[in-house]
Amino acid sequence: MKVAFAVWRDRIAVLFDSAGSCLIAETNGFGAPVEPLETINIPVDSCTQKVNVLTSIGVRALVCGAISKQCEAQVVSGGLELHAYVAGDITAVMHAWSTKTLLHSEYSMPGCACPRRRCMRRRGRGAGRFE
Amino acid sequence: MDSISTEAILESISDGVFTVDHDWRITSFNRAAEQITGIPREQAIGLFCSEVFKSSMCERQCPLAKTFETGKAVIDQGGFIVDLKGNKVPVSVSTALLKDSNGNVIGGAETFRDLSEIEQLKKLRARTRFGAIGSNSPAMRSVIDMLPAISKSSGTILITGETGTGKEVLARTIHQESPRKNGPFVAVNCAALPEALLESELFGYRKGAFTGADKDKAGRFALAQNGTLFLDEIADISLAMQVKLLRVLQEQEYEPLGATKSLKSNARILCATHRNLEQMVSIGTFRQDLYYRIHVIELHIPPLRERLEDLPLLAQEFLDQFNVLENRRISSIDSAVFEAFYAYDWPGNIRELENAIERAVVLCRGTSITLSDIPKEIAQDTGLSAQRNLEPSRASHSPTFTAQRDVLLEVLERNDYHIATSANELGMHRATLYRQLKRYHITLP
Repeated sequence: MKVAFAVWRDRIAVLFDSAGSCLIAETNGFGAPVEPLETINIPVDSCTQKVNVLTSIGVRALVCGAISKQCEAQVVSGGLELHAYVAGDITAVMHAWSTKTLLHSEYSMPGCACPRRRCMRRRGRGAGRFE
Repeated sequence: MDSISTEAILESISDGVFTVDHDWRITSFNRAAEQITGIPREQAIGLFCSEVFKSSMCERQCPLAKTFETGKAVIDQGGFIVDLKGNKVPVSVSTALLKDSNGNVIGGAETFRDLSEIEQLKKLRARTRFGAIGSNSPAMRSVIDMLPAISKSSGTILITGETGTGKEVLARTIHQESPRKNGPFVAVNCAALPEALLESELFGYRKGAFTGADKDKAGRFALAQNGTLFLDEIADISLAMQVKLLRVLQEQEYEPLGATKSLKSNARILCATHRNLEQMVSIGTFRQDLYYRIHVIELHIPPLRERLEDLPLLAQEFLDQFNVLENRRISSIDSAVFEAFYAYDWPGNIRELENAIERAVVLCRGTSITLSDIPKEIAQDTGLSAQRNLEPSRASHSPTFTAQRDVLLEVLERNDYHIATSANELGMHRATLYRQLKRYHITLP
């Protein structure tokens, strides 16, 4: 399956609502190795269009920083598995995906240190499957 | 002033203030900043400001970066931050360079103001409001009055109205105000998907159900479990699909493609269409049993041309929204623009108004939207109005003329014929209102 990491420079983009690019990677699921494919531009202002672009290229999961409730609803409606409020260097975050350590507090945005709280934000297709 | 009194001042003000070093790491963070962001100071210090602030401006329109680049302060740049609960908090941001006693730049300072209360006050201008939906129109009152009871129930709702009237916004509002608000809101545009795809999208499929189905896929009914499923353009589904949908609505059960066992669905169903379902039933293109099943409660959203009283409110809401998105500070809309808005028929309804305001915000060079900023087909209607004014006998027969005259009379009556208050509600200057009264042959009592 394909997973999208919302990126800004070499880190996870701080806010998906205004993010402008995503690193698309191939993986067999959470805990499996991640193979980066390409970095694509996504529409900056519209969450609906962001989701449309991602689903149209077969993305099934999204890893991003902060996300508004409205945008989160669009992502979940689009059937994407959401891992939000993630922070950190993109290489480290991809490694954390493949080692199932993404819920560790070092990959949480400030104020979101409790991994359990972040679990609640993991919604959509396959939610809870990786707990 | 010594550092202790500077710190005391920073702690006492209601604006959030933080400072950063050259690496964008936070070096100080005051009490208001803690309150607005929800992040304690001890956690914020030393982190990247963007990851603490989480603002719509960070990536492309960072005011601090602008200040570092130009050496000039940025004053009141608009944007929003997202708090830890996912709420958008509108803020205005100002920045300045931070220098040591020798004048060397040692970093930057950013102050930010929470504009939530101001935005809230702006929203309260609507006479009737339910969640995100506000209105000053009597035509909308009956709809809004029903919403509290409808939101609490779990019955199926049919939302009707022309395209662009805000059927999905209404559905989202019902979900947001319902006991299911913590569950998902899943929207499906039935017209956008071919029949074969619609079935697998709605009900999902099992591995091996067809060529290419290499793993199980949950459908929208499953995704909307404990939440709300919004089926837009319900009239556009085939008769065969209508039978399958009827079964889910009746039995609360469905079978994913290739499954041998039925699954239970507890999603609340909201349907919408711009078509006349009753007529479709009479000609046999929509099943009568499904019609009665979804037509438990019907909410009809009137077209914008029948709720012109809402133009100022909607236009202002869109202006505020696009000011934030486009990082502009346009403060008003010219009364001539409103004249054009009132004269126009709005075939695309609220969506068309939204697009017109978005275009205007992008094109506007000053601080007020003028006629030249709005689409030609809307602006041209002012010219027609002026022409009609020259020919009162002909103009008085036009539906637009009558509609505008009715709006003016209604607003005046509601405000006891007080000119300033009525002009304010209509979003125009008093002098413009006097001209309108003359144009539409309205005499004050």
